Amino acid sequence: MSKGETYLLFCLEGEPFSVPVQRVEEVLEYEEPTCIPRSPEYLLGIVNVRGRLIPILDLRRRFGLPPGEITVNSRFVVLNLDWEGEAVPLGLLVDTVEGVIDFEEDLITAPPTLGKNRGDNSFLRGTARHNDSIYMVLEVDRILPGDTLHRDFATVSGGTQ
Amino acid sequence: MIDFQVERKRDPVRVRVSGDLTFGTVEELREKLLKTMPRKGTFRLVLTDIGEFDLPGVQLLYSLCRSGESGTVTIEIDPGEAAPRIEKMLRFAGLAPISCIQS
Amino acid sequence: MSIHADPLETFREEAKEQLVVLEESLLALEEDPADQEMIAAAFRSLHTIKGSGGMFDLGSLVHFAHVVESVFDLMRNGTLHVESRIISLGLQARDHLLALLEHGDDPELQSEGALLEQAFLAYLPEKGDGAASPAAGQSAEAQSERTWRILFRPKPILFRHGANPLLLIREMEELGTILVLGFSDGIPELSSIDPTECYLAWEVLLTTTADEQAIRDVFMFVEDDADLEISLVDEVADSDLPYKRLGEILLERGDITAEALEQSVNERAFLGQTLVEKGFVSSERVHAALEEQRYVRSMRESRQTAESSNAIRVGTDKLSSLVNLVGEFVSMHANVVFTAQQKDDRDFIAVGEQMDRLIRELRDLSIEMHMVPVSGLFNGYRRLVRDLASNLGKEVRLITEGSETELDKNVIDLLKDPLMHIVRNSVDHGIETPEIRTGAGKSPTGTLKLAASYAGAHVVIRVSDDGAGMNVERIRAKAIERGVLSAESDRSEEEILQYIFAPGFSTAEQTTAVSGRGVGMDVVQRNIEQLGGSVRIASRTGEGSTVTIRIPLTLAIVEGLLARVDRNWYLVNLSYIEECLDFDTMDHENRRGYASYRGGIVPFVDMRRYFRIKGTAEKNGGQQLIVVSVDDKRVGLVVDEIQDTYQSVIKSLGRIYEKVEGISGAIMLGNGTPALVLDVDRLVRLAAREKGHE
Repeated sequence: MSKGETYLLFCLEGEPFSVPVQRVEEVLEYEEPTCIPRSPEYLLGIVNVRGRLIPILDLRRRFGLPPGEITVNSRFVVLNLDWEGEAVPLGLLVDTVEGVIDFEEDLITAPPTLGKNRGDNSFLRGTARHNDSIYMVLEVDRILPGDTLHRDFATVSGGTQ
Repeated sequence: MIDFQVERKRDPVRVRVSGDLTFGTVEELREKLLKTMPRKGTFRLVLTDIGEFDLPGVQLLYSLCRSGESGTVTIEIDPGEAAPRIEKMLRFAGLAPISCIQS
Repeated sequence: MSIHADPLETFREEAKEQLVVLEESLLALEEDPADQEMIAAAFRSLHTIKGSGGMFDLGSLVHFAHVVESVFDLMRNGTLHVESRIISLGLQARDHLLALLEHGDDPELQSEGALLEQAFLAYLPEKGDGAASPAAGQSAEAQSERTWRILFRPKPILFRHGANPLLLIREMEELGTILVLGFSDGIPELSSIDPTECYLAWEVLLTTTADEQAIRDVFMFVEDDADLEISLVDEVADSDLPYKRLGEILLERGDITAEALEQSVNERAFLGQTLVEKGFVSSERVHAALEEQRYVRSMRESRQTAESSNAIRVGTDKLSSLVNLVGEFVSMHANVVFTAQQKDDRDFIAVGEQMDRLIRELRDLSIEMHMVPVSGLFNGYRRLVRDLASNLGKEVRLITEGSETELDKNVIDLLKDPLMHIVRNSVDHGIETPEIRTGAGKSPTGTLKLAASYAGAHVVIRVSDDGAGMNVERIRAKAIERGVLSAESDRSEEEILQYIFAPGFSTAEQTTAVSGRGVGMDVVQRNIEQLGGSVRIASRTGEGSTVTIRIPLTLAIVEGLLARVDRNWYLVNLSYIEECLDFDTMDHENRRGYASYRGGIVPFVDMRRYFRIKGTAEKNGGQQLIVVSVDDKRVGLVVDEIQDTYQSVIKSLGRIYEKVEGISGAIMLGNGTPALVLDVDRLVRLAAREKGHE
């Protein structure tokens, strides 16, 4: 049996997702971010975490899911991204955080060819089966690709060009 | 006003200048020097009696010296009693000693 | 933002330190009257007190210090011998100066001062009034001594206009220690000279506390009749640098070309001799360069002995941490005050206010300690320019201006790379080869100028060359090709030039062996914007280009006005603000965005609209117009509400938000929520551009 890795589980729209715990800096309770105007809709703004500014990404909107409501279970999962060669923090807004789980590396299978996001599922590393449930495993560094972000910023500020 | 006295007309030619060696007199002095300067041999300028002098005056002395560098004439400037005054001004202005000044 | 909390108090502190030095050197002189170092030290301390006292209304102190200084000057140049009476008078003078500092000018002190002054005046040769008046042109601040090189090349007309360079030399002498090097190598021989024209030229090395402007002022009346170049050759902060070599000095002075140096440096003889033999330079010029080398060395040595006693060397990393800690402390204090106000605890609030004053002083002091002149940065490019130029077969002269301008050391460190890139570009693409230049009727040697100056809380750095300039049409074509500009756009040439800062805009020919390292101007712009600065380019075909960088004096802390737009608070840097007005009661035209202002109109940006906020401001009014200006452009920003000024450390929004427009960073408010810093520079440019199209 190959060596396992620990994953953090969270839910969006009732669907289970996971990211490697190694890449998670911390999980925070929801607080209202300071919104930054003239940004893509899926960026909610910034929060101050002990003097450090963390940008917040609405994962539902990024994945094209309907917007959710903020509840007592809403959390920010703060990831450490390798973003165009630089370590960048990013907080994901998720519905709930479920806990951690160990997946065997060989239990992760390639992503299905048809994802929820009209075929673009490069942010998915694959799926993992555990106790008869299927978990989506995210490719952390592909959640917010640089070219996508730049394009979206250009669209947003297009009005003044 | 400048007083220009040719003390000796044959080689070595000697000229004694008194009066001011200043902006107001440099043109006149240049004319006279050019007229008096021989084609060859030694030309000696005695400054011992000069009155005031300024930078244009000093500049003319350099020019005179330079005339001797390429040609066949040997130029000698004898500052005489004016030597300390001239030296002081050159030092103050950071200028190199005038090469044909005899000390 | 003022760096000096109370300049007068700062002066008093410094003057007292100088008096300590004075006392020590006098006592040392009592032991050994021949100690030249001590005479010089005493003179310098008096000189410093006089110089910095000049900017305050301390006439009698300045006057008295000047008289005493004049006597010490005589001892310094050997005209007067040190004797015990002068030393005891000197000690009395020191006590008198201290009393003047502490008690001001009371009548009792006046009579005492007059007596002492008489005693000192007796040592001075009778020169009438001149001796006792303070020397003109003293720098306002008691700065450390620096050595300047002044190249003074009169035009032929100089003498005919009645100017006398000797008087200028005398005036420079008043400013500090000088070494005068006159050049007579331009004087023609008798048959071709016009003796009323000036063929002389000078180089003066001046070690002084005065600033560049004070030196320039000496030449005020001959400005049009001479070429004047003033550059910093050495300073205390640089004293760890190796001494410049002969070739370097000659090159810097423009006496020889890089090519000539290249040809001579490889021969295993003395460089100076080789250069003279090859006819590249006269022996007088080599002599002058050697003199400069010697002079810098001796000034540096005497300074180091003089200053090692009352200065402490601190590692810059420690200093940086101090600045950062103070920054955090300032923010934390804002938090404390905020909490106190929330709890409405009067005692607590009062303590907070008292702390405020101390914290401001601490802040200013720590920032001030962290400021260094840009000369080190500028001079660091000399080698680069020289090597680049010789690799490319070009002749480039680097001149600097305003190199005494001071900036936060952190800013300077972060500016090093972007500026290098700009300099590199100028030499590589701006300045042409000597053949092309000659063909275009220009001097074969190109000039690259690095200039720095203050503009409020900012420093402006300009890199200009007299090269070929940018090709606007090519940039326009490229911008259209890349789809960032529409073919119909009527953008001005100036606006189009700015596209060179867009990502991936390095044109094909930009990848030469020298500068093609894959770093584009977009990176330059990003680096500078991360510093809270801006960069612009201006260019004229055939005449050259100028890149203008504007950066804050310090990164550590900004002071700004808090303004609300919708639910967010924004910080507007105070250094931009001209005034705040009640927008609702002003005459304004919403559709085109103009408001009447000071008898004219000012374009305004409705921040709600700019930020795409739906809905309008609350009906109860309260909208404010913040009038800001950048360079000569003035724009109004319409906000919902304004609050107090606030000082804080600015934090970067990070890579994710690096493309956002109109916001340049964030600060933490007292309650811990972030507020955003408005990118005023960009907003003003944007507004000016939009209005320019109407």
